[in-house]
Amino acid sequence: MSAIPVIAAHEVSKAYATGGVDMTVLQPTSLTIDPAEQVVIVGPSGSGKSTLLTILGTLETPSTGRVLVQGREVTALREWERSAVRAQSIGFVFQQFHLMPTLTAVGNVATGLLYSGVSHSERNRRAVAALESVGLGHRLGHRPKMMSGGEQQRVAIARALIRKPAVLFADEPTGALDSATGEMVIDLLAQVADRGTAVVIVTHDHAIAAKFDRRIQILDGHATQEVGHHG
Amino acid sequence: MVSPLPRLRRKHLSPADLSRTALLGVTGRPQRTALASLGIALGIASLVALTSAAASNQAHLQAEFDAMGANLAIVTPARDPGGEQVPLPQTAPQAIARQDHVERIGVMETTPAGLGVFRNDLVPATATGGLSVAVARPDLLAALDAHLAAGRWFDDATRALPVTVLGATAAERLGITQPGDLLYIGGQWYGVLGILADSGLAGGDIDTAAILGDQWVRAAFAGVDDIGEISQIFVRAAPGKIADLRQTLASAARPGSPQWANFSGMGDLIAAREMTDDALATLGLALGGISLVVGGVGIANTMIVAVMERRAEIGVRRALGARPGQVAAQFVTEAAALSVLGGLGGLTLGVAAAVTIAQVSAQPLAIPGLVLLAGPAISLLIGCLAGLQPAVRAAHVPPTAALRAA
Repeated sequence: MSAIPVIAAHEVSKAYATGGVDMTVLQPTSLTIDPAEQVVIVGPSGSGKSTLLTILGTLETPSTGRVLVQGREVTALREWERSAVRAQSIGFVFQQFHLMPTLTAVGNVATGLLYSGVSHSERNRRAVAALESVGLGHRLGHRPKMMSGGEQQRVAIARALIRKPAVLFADEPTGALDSATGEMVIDLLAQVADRGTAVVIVTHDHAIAAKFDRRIQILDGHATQEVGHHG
Repeated sequence: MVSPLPRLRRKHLSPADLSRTALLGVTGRPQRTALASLGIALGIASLVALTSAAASNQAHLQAEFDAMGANLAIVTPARDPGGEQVPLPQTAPQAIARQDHVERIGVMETTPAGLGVFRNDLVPATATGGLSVAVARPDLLAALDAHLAAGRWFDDATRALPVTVLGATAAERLGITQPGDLLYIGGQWYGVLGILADSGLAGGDIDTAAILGDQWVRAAFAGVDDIGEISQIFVRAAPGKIADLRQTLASAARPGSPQWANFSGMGDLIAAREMTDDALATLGLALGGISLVVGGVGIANTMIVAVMERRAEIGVRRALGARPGQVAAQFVTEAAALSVLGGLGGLTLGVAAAVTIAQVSAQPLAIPGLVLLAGPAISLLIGCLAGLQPAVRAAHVPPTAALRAA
């Protein structure tokens, strides 16, 4: 079972037609991500790293190539089926947290299971557990406005983890945080991987990238992979 | 070695989860919600208030007419094609009195032509003062529900004597306040037997008349054309039964040839007032309809703006596994909730307005039950329609919107 990669991309590329000219933002790229693996995609802004993340995360379909999630080819699926794959296997964390301002921490985290067919009470029960696992057991009833940026991002991580995804994608998760808080969030994401969920982090910050063994560098849509050492 | 992939399943949002999610957008921004639902609220309010006002008006009118004589009808002889009056048979009053729902009747007889009513014999014969002479049988007083301000009404003895009972206006114009005075009518002195109180709408011309006894007139004007013939039969029926009696009364008055009996009543007046009330209700529908359309457009507009503002939220929901249809359902439900909220607010406002209108105009409160049900139902329908287009837009927001929105 564990031999099947959580994500396998074969020659995926992305091009947009703007003003009659094809703009290739991602050159054909192949890569696999194994269960519980930690991967960082690093590159300057506009390099195509976010595009790679959205393709691997099934948020966007590639112009060419195929993506498999846990052995299932998602590029051939219908829209509702891709939604189901996301609900079942993939978690996301965003730079701007994107929490619902009117919901409490529990309510926000429970939203992670809203589209998975889990009952309201069960969602809330698991949301409490997920918040406790990211060290926010004391913030259950707080709304985003009453929490610090670091706490909000931890709520967002709990929302992504509540359904125990096979892989978690984090898009510039420290981009809106100060460096100390950002480091804490990165440490938390590293722990997530230790618990069995693969983690893919997109960042432009080489200091963060240096913490991870496996790095995918992107420059002008070209991805080069390297396996480095803890820096 | 390769294990078969588990089937992907469509997970559905329960109605509770759907409404909970949609209500977030409604309760999260109270100010926006209030403004967005204002149009619908005004529409439903004017619908409720104006239809209620019309209904109150109607109820008030019914009560007023019942008190005043809505149950009063008048049967008169018809004219033939040559313009000649075809007299009612002398049996007509008894025949009418026997009909179901007829409570009491009163009869007036033909008045001798050319009689003037004067204070004394010195007044020129042309100065009639707008007064007339009427000839009544004793049963007329009860049939008209008329009352005496002074003196007495005709009885079996006085109906054969040269005495008169004056209508309220007639007495006032002649300057007579007490019975016992003399009046000069048609070259003959009459003693004033009584004075009637103002009869209101029901009595018609009786207020300006000097009423003479039927037996006296038959004796004094014996041989004169038409004397002793029935000119009007006043019919007092059970409340609300007058319209049903129209055919019956004409047939009873002139068996075999009911076309020779005319029938009139307050019903015509009521019908006229009903048209006014219908116009009021129509105005309510029109005003309400316009406000509702404007309200619907307002909600659609609010929702379109909401979709633009909430692209990130939609993207997050899509990333969490929401299908386009579920996003659309959320926005339709939110629009419907805004609209129904407005509808309920409008209902409250409209009922309050109806109560106020009823109190100020001292009319009975009448709110049509149908409007109370239709208000929320209409606003639900409008909300769903208004939410459709924004919902389709929302469904088209790509999941990547969560990444790009700041």
